[in-house]
Amino acid sequence: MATSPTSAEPLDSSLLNALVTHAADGIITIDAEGTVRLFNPAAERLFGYRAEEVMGRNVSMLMPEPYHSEHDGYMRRYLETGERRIIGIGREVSGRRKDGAVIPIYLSVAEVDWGEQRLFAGIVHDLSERKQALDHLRRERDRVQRYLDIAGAMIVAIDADQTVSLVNRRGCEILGCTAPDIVGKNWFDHFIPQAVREETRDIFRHLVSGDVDGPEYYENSVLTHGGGARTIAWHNALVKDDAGRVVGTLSSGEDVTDLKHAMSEIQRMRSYLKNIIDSMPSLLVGVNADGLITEWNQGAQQVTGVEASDALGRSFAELLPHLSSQLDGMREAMQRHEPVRTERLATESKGEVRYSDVVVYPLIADGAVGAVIRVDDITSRVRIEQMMVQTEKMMSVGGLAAGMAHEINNPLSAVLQGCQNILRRLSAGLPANNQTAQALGVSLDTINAYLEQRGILGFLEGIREAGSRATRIVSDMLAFSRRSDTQFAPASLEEMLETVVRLVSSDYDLRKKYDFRRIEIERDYDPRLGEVYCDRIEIEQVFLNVVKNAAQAMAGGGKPPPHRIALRTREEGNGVRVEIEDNGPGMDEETCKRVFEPFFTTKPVGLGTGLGLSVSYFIVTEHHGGSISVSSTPGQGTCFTIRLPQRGGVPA
Amino acid sequence: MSPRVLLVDDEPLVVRNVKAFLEDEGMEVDGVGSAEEALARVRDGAAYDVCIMDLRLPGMDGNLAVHTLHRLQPALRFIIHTGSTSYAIPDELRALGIGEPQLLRKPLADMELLADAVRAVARR
Repeated sequence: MATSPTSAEPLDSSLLNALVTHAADGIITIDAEGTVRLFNPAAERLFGYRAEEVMGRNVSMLMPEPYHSEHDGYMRRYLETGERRIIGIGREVSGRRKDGAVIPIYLSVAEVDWGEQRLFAGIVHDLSERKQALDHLRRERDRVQRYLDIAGAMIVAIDADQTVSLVNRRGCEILGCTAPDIVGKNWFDHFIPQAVREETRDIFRHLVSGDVDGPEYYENSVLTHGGGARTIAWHNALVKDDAGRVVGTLSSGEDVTDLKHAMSEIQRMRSYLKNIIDSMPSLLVGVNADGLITEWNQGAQQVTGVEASDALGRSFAELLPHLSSQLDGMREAMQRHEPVRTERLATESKGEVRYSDVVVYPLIADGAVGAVIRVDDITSRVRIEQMMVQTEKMMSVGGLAAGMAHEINNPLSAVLQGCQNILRRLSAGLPANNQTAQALGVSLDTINAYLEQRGILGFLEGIREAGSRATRIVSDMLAFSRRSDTQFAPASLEEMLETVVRLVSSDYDLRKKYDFRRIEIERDYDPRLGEVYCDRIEIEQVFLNVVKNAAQAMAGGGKPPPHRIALRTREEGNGVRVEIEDNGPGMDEETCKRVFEPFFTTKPVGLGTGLGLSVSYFIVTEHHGGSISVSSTPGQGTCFTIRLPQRGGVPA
Repeated sequence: MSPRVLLVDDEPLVVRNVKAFLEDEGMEVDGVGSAEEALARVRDGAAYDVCIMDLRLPGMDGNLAVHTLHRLQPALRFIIHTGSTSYAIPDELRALGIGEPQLLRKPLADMELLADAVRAVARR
């Protein structure tokens, strides 16, 4: 630096020289024309020129384009207008070294009036290293930002004062804002839904207080620009300063909204499927290749009484021994990749034969092999089918009977009428009888006494009874034919039952063995019951058959009085239910199963045709579209249940 | 006056029994085994009050026989005696204007019913 020789206290110029020579920064002095007048050693090192190479030359040689060409312009403009660019200010500019390299420098220029001359002294500070360090830092920052930006997770740094100091591109995407919209804002006030805002803020406070270890992982919702919410799973780290104080948090969060949604959808689907599987009446069991149970539905629980939690993992053969025959089918299904069906598999359970349809479906999922076994209990269907077959048989019998009735009724007429004529012509009531006997010299009394003593009258009675029975059988069998004259009309069940009670009370055959009046009739009629559309005569016949059976059973059952028959009517769905229950001797299971079979009778020979209940079954099921069933406990009594549709009954 | 009865049935045992019973009741009974025989009797000049007619007969059937007999003897009354369970008195028979024909089904274990029916229709 040069000083004015006119200054009040002249400095020792050698000291000034030494300062300039040893200054760490380059010192270059130029005159108003831009000619270099001083170039210190530090400037020599900076620019790579020796002083004598520069002195006397224009300073623009030290400048790269565009400064190089424009420097004279700057100078001129300053000298003319006083407009400053650098002078008295100082700024970062570029310099050109002798080797052509451009270097960053900090240049400050002072104007010096030195006698007549205007000089400009520039102090040049080499910024290369700082520039390099800054560039490095900038590159590093950009690289980190790129890392942050390509990260799949959203990354947010929050300062201790709750403001956001950093957010990456994914974060911006999720929040639906740009980084400038986010950085500097209070994270909790702007990006956390109100419902969980304070709670989340508390967690944050705890975290940054450093007193406690906050959760490293947690999930919460963030508020997006559109007002929606996304669920984010966060991993948090504390940011500390050099002193180890917590100054904020750095969190990386994954948007798990869709995942959550998918998970709950999977959960929903799983429980939906489970409900479907459980609501199936079938027994459904899944097994793996080793025959161990992997799936066990409600139906399986009901059949076995084993809970699904107990069944899983146990062996199929152990839990369902009656189906162990299916193990071969399973192996076959798994090998052939085709379902294997077994129809009407008969198994015995508690002394009872039950029928099942079994299907084994092979399961191949993710390479694992297994099977699903579906078992449907078709016992009742099989029973109904058997009954239908029986009914069909009876219908053909009925058809046959209708065709034969005429032929059979003629000889039956002859038998019965012959008996009637014989007995009449033996009686004293007809004058012709007496006349003929007298003419032959015998008395009617003698003839009758003879017939009596020889048992002939008994034989005749036997013929008459046999004929009557045959007549009843024919007429019962005719009931199986589809009659054309059925009369469907609304009728009161109560009235029909009362008619039947009256009929039974006056039944001669029954009265001979048992006085029906000794049976207590318990009436329990549903008062809301409307009339039932039915063939009154037929339904009365059904009730009569059942009530008569009950009376006969109690008469012959050896069970001491009191004897009781309960008559109940109930509304049931869109139909009616009639129960006729006695407290008679009851029936064993085998008899119960066969009561509706044609020609099955437990009564002494001659008392029943064996068709009464099967006719009843036919009338109820075929003619009226209803059902009839029986339940009984030996020693307790028997209950017949008849169900009729209120307004069904297709006239057959 | 006891009714005169024409009994038509192709079962000789039935003819014999019914004839015997009704005769014991004091009626005059002609028993024949077919519609043709019945028509021959009437054409020959026999007169009846009541005809007991079986329906299923060899040759001419009972229904047609009733119509033919009615033409020949409009005052004749009819009892249909049949083993068929599905038979109902057809409307044409009612249309004859001879009153409601009686219908009795076989087997008739008690012939008293038949005798009563004969007396009932004969009075009309």
